[in-house]
Amino acid sequence: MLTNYLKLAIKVLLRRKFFTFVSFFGVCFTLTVLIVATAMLDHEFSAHYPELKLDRMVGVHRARMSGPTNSRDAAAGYRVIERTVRKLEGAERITVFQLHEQVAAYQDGRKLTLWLKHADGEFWRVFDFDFVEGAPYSQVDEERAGFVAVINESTRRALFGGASALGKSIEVDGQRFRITGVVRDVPFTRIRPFSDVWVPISTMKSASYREEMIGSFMAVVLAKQKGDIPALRRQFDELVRAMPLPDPVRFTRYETALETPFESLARTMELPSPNALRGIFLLFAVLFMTLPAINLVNLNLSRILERSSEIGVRRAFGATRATLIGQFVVENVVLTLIGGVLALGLSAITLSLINGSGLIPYAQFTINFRIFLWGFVIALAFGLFSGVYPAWRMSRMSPVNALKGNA
Amino acid sequence: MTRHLLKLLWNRKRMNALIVAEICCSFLVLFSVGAGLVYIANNVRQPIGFTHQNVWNVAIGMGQESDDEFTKQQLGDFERALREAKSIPFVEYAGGSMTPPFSIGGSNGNWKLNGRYVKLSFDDVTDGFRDVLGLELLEGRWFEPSDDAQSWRPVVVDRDAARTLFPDGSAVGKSIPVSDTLEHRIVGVVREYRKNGELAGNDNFVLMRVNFVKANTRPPRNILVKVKPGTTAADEQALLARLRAVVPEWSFELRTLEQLRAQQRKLQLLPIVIGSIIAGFLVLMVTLGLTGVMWQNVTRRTREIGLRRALGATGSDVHRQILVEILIVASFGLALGIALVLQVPVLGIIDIPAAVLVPAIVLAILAILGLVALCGLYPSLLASRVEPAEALHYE
Repeated sequence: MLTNYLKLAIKVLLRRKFFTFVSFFGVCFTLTVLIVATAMLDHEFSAHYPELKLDRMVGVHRARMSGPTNSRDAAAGYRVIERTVRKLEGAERITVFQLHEQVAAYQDGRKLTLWLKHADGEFWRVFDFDFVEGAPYSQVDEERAGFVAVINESTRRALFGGASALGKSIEVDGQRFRITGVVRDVPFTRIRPFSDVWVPISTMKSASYREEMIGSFMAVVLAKQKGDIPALRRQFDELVRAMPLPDPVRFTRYETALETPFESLARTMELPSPNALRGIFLLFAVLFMTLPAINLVNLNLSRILERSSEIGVRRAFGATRATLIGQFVVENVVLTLIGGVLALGLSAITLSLINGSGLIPYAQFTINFRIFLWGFVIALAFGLFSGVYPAWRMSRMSPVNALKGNA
Repeated sequence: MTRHLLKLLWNRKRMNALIVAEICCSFLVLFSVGAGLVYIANNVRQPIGFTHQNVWNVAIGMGQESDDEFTKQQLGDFERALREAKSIPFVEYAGGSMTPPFSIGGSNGNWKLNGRYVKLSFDDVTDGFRDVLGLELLEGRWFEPSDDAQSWRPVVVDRDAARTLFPDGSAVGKSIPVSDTLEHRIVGVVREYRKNGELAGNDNFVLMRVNFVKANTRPPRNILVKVKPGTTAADEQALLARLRAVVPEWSFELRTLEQLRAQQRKLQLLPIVIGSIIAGFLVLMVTLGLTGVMWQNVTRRTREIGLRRALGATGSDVHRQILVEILIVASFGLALGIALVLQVPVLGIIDIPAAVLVPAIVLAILAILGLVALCGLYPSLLASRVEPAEALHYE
């Protein structure tokens, strides 16, 4: 039965080339935009280099300290992290690092603008960096304030051409660091590990960061297994609640959480739950699909006449309306799925253009199996969204009229 | 004739309702992109109120996130760094700023003044700020060293802020209640200062004076220097080295305003470029789709058209009929779209100025009408070629 439907669908598609072209154009364009958007979200929030163990990671990304008249909202301060995250029991590893900041590096009279991140030694064991040469610095360097740095491949190219960078030094923001390792570039979309140059936290110019409640620090906790995360979160909340605030008159509340980047985003947007954020993304997708769907519905309805005799004959020989609806929906879904395959190709091209444009530093957007599955789901949804109404209308034609060729 | 056409349209109301919906959606898409373009085009024509050539910005990292917390020590360090910058031979002027030109983000707020809310943007600046950026004073005076002794905080506003705050008279000498603890009194008015450059809109700007002597204001986080033409990267490094020598525990990052401007322009243009590309494809899709629909429509009405021809209508009569029909359907879609768009300012969702709203609506209407006429061109040509004898015979 399905084979018959498919054969019919293909015949109909081949009959009026212009219509088929226009339908495919709309489907491909719509699905390409949605697949590209999905791929970008996937690269932001799913496990990708160098956050490969993402399912076992939760972090402290944002914090707010507030009181009757004051409120400060930024990343957490180092002191808070020392007193809460560092005290967690039962985690496999804990790393503390700073938000990346832009700094100038001067090399042989040339100026480079680089991203710098201060991170402890555990950083290199929590995230899975690919080392092109050398090795990471260790927790010992962190404790002894060693002036050592890890740089990425692009920075090595900019500083030393193709030559090895090991043992050479780099001057960043007026401080000199010895390079111990070079890693593969990290895309800007990985906010936590991203940088051009990584150096130990203890090399910061002033030690005043140690006293901060609100500052520019983040932490990531790697759980032994995924199931440990709820217990770690409870422990963390308890530690935050028990933490004394330095100025209890001005500030009465400290809010932060151990969460995934997606949960942090939802909280920053002041949404009640991460699901609300998913809902917003879904709403945008549906809104975007509306115009293309109406366009496709219009085209499909226009073709009713073309097929009225077919419909008439089938109705006259006892096909039920449900059967006809099924047939036409299947046809439309076949159309959108073929369009989806083309759209995947177009998305790959668009993504590589985005990667090459330098718009997002070191972007490495690709189509992976997960995005392929998402593309399939989106194409299916679009096919149903745009196929049900025309199918319903077609199935309602009275057999007599249909056989006469009137719609 | 019109009644006849309306009747014909009513007979295919379901199909036409869908076309109306499609036109309405397309109108909304074109309006959104058009509004963005008109907004930018309006802005580009206005002067920005300062010159950015040969100006460098040194951003200071004080090792803390909040701008509001400061110590006397930090304020003193800032003043020393500023004086050091000014003493360098290739530096003509130097001034401090919290949110310098073309920087991302800024400080702004809504303040209730004389019973209505006014949106103001702020910057904390030092006395040298005016010379660095070449601000043109229109009224009153700029800050001067003797202001250190005032019990109130002197501020200079730009012209649009002055007009918004005090529409009925001079702003100079008036105070604005933006703080509970310190009186902010206007001493001068400068030409419209547009921190975010040509592409961004006008914001009501309030420049507040930093007081190093009383130390009751927070230190700025940026040093702006106007340099003599012909400096090199080595000069940049020299400036930074001297600043680091003054305050070793701060980090300094130097960028020219030209670089900051280019970076900001990229961010400002990106959404409109992406929006235009997507809207362009959507519109192309709609154009092709409507052409297909109308083509099919004409084919289907061959007999009706044949009958009209047989009764004496000329080819161009039929041609016109088809075009007028689709234009009528389109205007229903447009009416719906305009009604929806007008809800935005009426309900106060986003405050769209009339200078953007009206041209954007007109542009979108023209684009849709042009588009629909384009869609109708080929199908109506087909219709006008219908031979009555063949058409009446048509099965």
